[in-house]
Amino acid sequence: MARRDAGEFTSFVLSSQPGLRRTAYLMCGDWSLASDFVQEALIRVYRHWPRLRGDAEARAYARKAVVSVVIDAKRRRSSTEVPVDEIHDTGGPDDADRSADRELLTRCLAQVPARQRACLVLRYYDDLSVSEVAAVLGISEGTVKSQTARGLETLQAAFARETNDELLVSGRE
Amino acid sequence: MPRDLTDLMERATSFAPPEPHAASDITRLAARRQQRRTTSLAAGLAVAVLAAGAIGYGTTRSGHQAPEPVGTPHDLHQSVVDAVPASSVAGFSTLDYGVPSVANHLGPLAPIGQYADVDASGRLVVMKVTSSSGSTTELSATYEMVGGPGEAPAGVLAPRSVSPSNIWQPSFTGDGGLAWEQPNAGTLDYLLTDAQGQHPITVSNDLSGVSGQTPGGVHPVRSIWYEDGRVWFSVVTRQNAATASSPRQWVSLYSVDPEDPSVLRAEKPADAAEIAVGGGEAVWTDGTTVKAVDLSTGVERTVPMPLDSGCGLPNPSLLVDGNLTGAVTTNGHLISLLEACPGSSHLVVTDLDGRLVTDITSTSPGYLQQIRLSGDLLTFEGDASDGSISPYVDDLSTGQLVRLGSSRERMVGDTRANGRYVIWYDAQGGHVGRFSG
Repeated sequence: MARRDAGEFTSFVLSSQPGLRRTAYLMCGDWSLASDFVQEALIRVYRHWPRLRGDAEARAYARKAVVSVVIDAKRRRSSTEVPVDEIHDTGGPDDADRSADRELLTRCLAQVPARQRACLVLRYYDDLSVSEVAAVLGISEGTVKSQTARGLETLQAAFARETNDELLVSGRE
Repeated sequence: MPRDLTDLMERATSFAPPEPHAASDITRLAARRQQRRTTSLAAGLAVAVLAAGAIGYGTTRSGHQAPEPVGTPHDLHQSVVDAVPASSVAGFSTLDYGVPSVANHLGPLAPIGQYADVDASGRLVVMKVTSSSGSTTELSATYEMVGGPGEAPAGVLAPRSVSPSNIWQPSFTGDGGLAWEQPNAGTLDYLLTDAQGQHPITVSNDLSGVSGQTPGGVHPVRSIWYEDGRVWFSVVTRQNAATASSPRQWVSLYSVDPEDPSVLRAEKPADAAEIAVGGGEAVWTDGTTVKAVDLSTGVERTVPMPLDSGCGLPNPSLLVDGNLTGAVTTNGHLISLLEACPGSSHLVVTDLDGRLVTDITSTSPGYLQQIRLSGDLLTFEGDASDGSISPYVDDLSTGQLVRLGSSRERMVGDTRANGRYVIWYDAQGGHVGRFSG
C-alpha cells in the first residue's frame, strides 16, 4: 500500500473494530450482524486506506462506512422493518439486569427509523457533535437536529410504553 | 425511575459475544476484494492476495467472490480487428435463460431489447414491453426476475409510471436491489426497491436548486448512479446558444440522500464536459484534462492520460445531450477514456495515476461507443466501415478482448456487464454470457 502497509491496516482494524461493532450493534440490535457490517465497512476503509491521512481521518471514515453499511442493509431488507422478531442476540455472560436493559433498549430503538436511529447512536453513544454527525451521514446540521429530535421523541414514547417511565438525555441538545 | 439514554446504551453494549472476524482475516479479505489496485498498490497487496488464496477465507456471509488475479495486465495495445470470437474463448459460455430477449410485436415501433440487466450472481431482470396501439405514447412494461439459466421467472412489482410515454428501466444496484430510471428531462425521477420491486424509495427532486443558466431554466439529468447509499447525478448546468456553430453543454455533479431527496448537495466537479461515477470515485473531463475525485474525502487529482501523438480528448461538442455514452467511465480504480484520433478512435484504460492498462484501437475508419466499465469487464460497441456493428468485452483481468457478435442493424439493447456476466445484443437477439473464474 502506498502510504501505510497492510500491517498498519490490521492494527487499525484491531483497535477500531470493538468500538465500531458496538455502534453497529446499537443500530441493528444483533451482535452477529453488527460484526458482518463492521467487516464490510472495514473493507471499504481498506480501499481508501492509502488516501486516509492519519488515525483520526481513518476512524471518521470507518464510522461513516459502518453507518452507511447498516442503513443500506436495513433499506435493502425493508424500508419499514422492525427487527424485533429477528434478534438472535446472545449478548454474552452478563447479569440479568444488564441483559434486560439491552433487550429493552433494542426493542425501543427498533421503533425508530434507521436514519434517526443513527443520529441518536452517534449523538448519545459516540458523543459526536451535530456537525460531526452531519458529516458522517452526509446531511445538513439542520437535518441532524430535526432527525435527532424526531428519533428521540419516538424512542422516548416507546420507552414510556415499555416501562411507564421516562428516558432522559443529558448534556447534548 | 427515569433512565438516562447514554447510560442505557453503555450498559447494553458492555458485554459482547466474541468477535467472529479476526483482524488479519479482514485484511486478507479486503485485499482479495481490492479489485486489482494497480501501480503502487499492486506490489504491497500481492503478498496479502497470495496469502488469502493459499489459506482461503470464510469470514463473510456474502458469496460470489471469484478468485482474483494478483494484478491487471498493463501496457497492452489491442485492436478490435484482433478480438477473439466469443465461441472460441475458453472459459466463456453463453447461457440460456429461457425468456424472450426482444419485443418484436410492437407494430410500427422498432424492436426493443428486454434483457435489462444482469447482476454479479447471474440474476437477470427482464423488461417485457407492450404497446396497445403500436404507439410510443402507450408503452407499458411488466418485469420479471430470472435467478439463473433454467430457473422460472418470478414477477417483479412494476413501479407506477410517471408518464405513459416512458417506461421504467431497471438495473441492479451494488447491494442487490434495483434502481429504476425513467427519463424525464429537467427533474430527477429515480426509484430504489428491493429485488422484488417492493419497498420503494422514491428519489425525486425538481432540480430547482441546481445552479446555472439553461434555456427555460430546465436542467436535464445526464446520468444517475447509486453509490455508497447516495444517489449521484450529473446535470446540465450551462449550455451555449442553440445557434452556436459548436454546441456545448457543461454538466455538474450533485447528490441526494435517498431518504431526504429534497436536499441537493453540490459535489465536485462543476462545469465539466462529461462526468462518470463508480467505485467511490468521480472522474470527468473538461475537454482538455481528465480529473478524479475521491467522493468520500474530496481529494482531487489530475490523471495524466497517455494519449497518442495526434490524438486528443473527445471534443466537448460531441458530448452534448449525452450523445457519446461512456466517453469517460470509471470503476473506482480504473478509468476508460475515448480518445479521438484521425480516422479512428481509441479506448484508453488507465489506473487513477494514468498508468496504461490497455489501448484499444477501432477499425479504421470506425469508432467506438456505448462504453461501460464494470469491475474487470469493459464493454463497448464498435462500428466498422462496412456498416456492421459488433459488441465487445475486454476482460481487463486477463487482457482478453472478445467479439461477442455482429449485426447490420443498430443494437436493440445495451451491452453491459456485472461481475463475470455480460449482456449483449446482435442480429440473433439478446444473450447472456459468463466468464468462468
